[in-house]
Amino acid sequence: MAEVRCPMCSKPNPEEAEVCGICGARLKPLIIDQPPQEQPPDKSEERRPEQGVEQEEGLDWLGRIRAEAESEAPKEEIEPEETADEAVSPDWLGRLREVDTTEDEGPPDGEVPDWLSAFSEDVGEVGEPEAAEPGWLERIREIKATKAAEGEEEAEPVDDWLARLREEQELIPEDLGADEIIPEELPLPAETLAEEEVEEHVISPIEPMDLSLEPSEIAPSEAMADKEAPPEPRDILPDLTEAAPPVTPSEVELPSEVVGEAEEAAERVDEFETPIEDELPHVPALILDEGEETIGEQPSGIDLDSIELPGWLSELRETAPPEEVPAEDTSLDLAPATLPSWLEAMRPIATFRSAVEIESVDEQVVESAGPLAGLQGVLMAEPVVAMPRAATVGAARLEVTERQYAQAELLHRMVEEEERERPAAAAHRPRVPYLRWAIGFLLVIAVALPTILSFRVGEGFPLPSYMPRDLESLFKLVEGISLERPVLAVFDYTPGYAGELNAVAGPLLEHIMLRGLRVVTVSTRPTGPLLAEGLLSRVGVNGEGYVHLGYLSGGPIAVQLFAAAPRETISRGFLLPGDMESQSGWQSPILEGVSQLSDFGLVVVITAGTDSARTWVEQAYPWRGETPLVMVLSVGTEPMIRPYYEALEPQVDGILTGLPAAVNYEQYLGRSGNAIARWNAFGTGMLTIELILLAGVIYGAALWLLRPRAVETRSERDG
Amino acid sequence: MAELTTLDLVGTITAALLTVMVLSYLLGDNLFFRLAVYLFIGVAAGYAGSIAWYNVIWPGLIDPLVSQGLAGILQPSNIVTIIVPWLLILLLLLKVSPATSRYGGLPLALLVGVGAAVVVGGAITGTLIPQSLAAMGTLTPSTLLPQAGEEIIVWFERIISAIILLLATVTTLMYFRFTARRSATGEARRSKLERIAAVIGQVFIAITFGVIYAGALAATVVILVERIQFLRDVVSSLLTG
Repeated sequence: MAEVRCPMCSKPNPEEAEVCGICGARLKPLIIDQPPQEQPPDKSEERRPEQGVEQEEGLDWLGRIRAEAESEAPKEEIEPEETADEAVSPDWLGRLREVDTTEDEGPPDGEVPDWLSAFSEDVGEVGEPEAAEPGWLERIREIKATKAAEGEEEAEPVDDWLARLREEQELIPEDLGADEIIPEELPLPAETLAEEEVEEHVISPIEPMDLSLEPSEIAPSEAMADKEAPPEPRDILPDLTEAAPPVTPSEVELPSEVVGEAEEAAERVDEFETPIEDELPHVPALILDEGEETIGEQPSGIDLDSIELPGWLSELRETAPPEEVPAEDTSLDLAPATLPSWLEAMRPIATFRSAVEIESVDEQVVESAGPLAGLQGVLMAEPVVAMPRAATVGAARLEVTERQYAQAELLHRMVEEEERERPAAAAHRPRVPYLRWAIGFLLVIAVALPTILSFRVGEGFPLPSYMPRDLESLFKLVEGISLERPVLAVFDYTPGYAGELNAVAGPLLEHIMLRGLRVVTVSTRPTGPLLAEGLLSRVGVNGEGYVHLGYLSGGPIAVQLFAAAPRETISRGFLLPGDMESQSGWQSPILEGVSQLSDFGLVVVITAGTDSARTWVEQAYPWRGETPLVMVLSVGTEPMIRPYYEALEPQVDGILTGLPAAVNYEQYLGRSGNAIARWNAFGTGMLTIELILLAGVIYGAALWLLRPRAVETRSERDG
Repeated sequence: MAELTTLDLVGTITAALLTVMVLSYLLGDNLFFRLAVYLFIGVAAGYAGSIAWYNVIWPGLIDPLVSQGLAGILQPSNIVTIIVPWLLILLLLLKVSPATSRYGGLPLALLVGVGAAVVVGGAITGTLIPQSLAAMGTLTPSTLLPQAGEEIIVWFERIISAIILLLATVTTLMYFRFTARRSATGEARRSKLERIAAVIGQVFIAITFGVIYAGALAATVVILVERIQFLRDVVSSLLTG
């Protein structure tokens, strides 16, 4: 099935469609050659609806060609004007004079103009020779055949009227070129023409209608170029009629065929002027200002310079002569007569037929939409096409899932919230921590009361009477240490834990010092040596009972190095006695005979951290030999270190942790130290904490018991 | 002696004030608490720096250079103890500049590598293997069977302890076992036995953390008591003159 492509949107349409189903553009151009009711439908257009499109396209290229040719046209058109001024006929007429009348009709071989030869070649290539015969010749042939049938044969040959034409050539007006009056197709051989059975296609590049400057051939470019005084098609015809009196058939005595043809042409012109205007459709104005009826005037309110015109139109505007060209001159500068042969050969077939009616200047509307808005006499754009409208064919519908829709809504809300101006937030009133205050004050009071009131030992909380097995073994261990070997005390805790660890480690260190054991301190923390001095200074004398090796930097590596080679790890001491300030701590008599870790009689690690305790256990274990390791720990660290002590082969030989153990140790020593002094306060504090925990548990249990009932009651009310 | 007493008195009063300032956090975050915290941080950093200088840098790096001179430094015995540490320190200082920071990778790699090796090696040889052997040793016949002359109650206690120790060790390890079979529905689920063991292990873990928390709480109370006693002593000393 043949399809017709829309000239506007290039969409395929059915062959019989007159209007594009996509954009609404007209597919079949309107023909103004004859009134619709009189002119039979063009079969060629019926067969090839796209031909109308080609015609429109042909108009476009023709307009461009003419615009291009205008730059060259003066050279070519000056000549016929000059020859007209000199009353010299064109070359082909001159050659016609030299042609022997006895010869066959038509120009001799080689005298055929280039454009015709090229055209003939083109026709031959197309394979439709009958289409190369102009319509007027066809009609002449029909008349001739009619006359022949009636027995009225012409006595004079064609050459006779040509001869008369030579005689009457001086009658031709100067301002009208001969080639514009008599078509060049006339010299065609009659036999050749007789053999061609042309019925429909008129492919002559220059038709009689061309002489009258068919409105369809007024390209938009020319209209633009001459917008100051554009050629008005309606005026051109009278001008031509006025300019052509010398060549009217009555005066020139043209052959009867030509006379008949001229009469028919005149009739067609008359028909073209009057009934067609009434009957042919025309394009209504989209926006028509009644005060702007002339083409050349720029419509008010529309600045053509500000309108973005197509490239080809802008070029035409630039190349267009600014001078106002008279209508007569425009009629004389007909581009079809000056087209070069090569261009004529390229001209498409049957593109000169006017497809649409060109209205008169008065009725021509000003284009009001599109890029040509404001121009008058432009190619008609169908209102349906030019009017802005919604697409008749719906665009691809976006299918959105619920999730995508929800996300889009969420995004929309987020954007709206971002744009929304938030009110200034009211100053947040700090919430009074009543609960924290209550707990804090309870603890302070619970701890302060026994301390301030200075309860005597045994008046408050009774001292623990049970001696743990761990403490007993530790006590025995300390008692078994040789007096010849010093004790290494590692102070690996920070001042924050001094309040606890000093109280716990105090009894042990006092026991060691009371036994006469020498103590050597070291610490992997910078504050450790100072804490050691603060604790040991209570029970001993620096330099005599103890010595500080100081800070051991390097973490686990340093511990391992110290365990392997203590003397090479620490080369100096801390707070050495006055006589040893310039010496190393290793020169103290306390460290005499100590070169490795196993040379110490006991290693006591006082720490509040699990990592520190484990480091000493792990790194010192291979080098300490038979030297026992005792851990003095904070209460929170004990659970992580006790496995080393509870093992069948313990890595920790003794453990002392917590204030109760310290109280037990002091009791075992028979001395009342800091541990016992803090026992009552510690007891009331722990009791207070236990009560607080108990109250919290009761409160939580009450909430847990009351909440389900409230939910059930609420659900029963609701439901 | 009088100067020392005055210095001690000033130090004691300052310590008491700082203690009160820290305890003021009970009322909420305030200027006095922040002032005390900033002071502690600054004093601790300065003190640590001075300790590092006098105990590490000066005796280990500067003093050998000063005391032994260039000739002593170049002795073969001092190359490892003086030259190499200085070279590593200089390379580590190159980390300051991005252009030369890659040269500081050598001492950094040495520190990280040696540190990791020491820690991991110590953990394996000092904790993992001994603790595993200790856990396995609780089931040995010599452990479970009653010792000669041992009371039954003591033997029974040891048996209960061994069972609890074994149960706690196994169930705690089972709790930290995160591998499971994937069912037909794609859900990774452990077997019922593993889930029960994990629950028991979770109970032991909770008990352990509870004990740790209780110990921390007890330690805190002891520290509070020590501070209250200190304040009492200061006040009493000030009042009594």
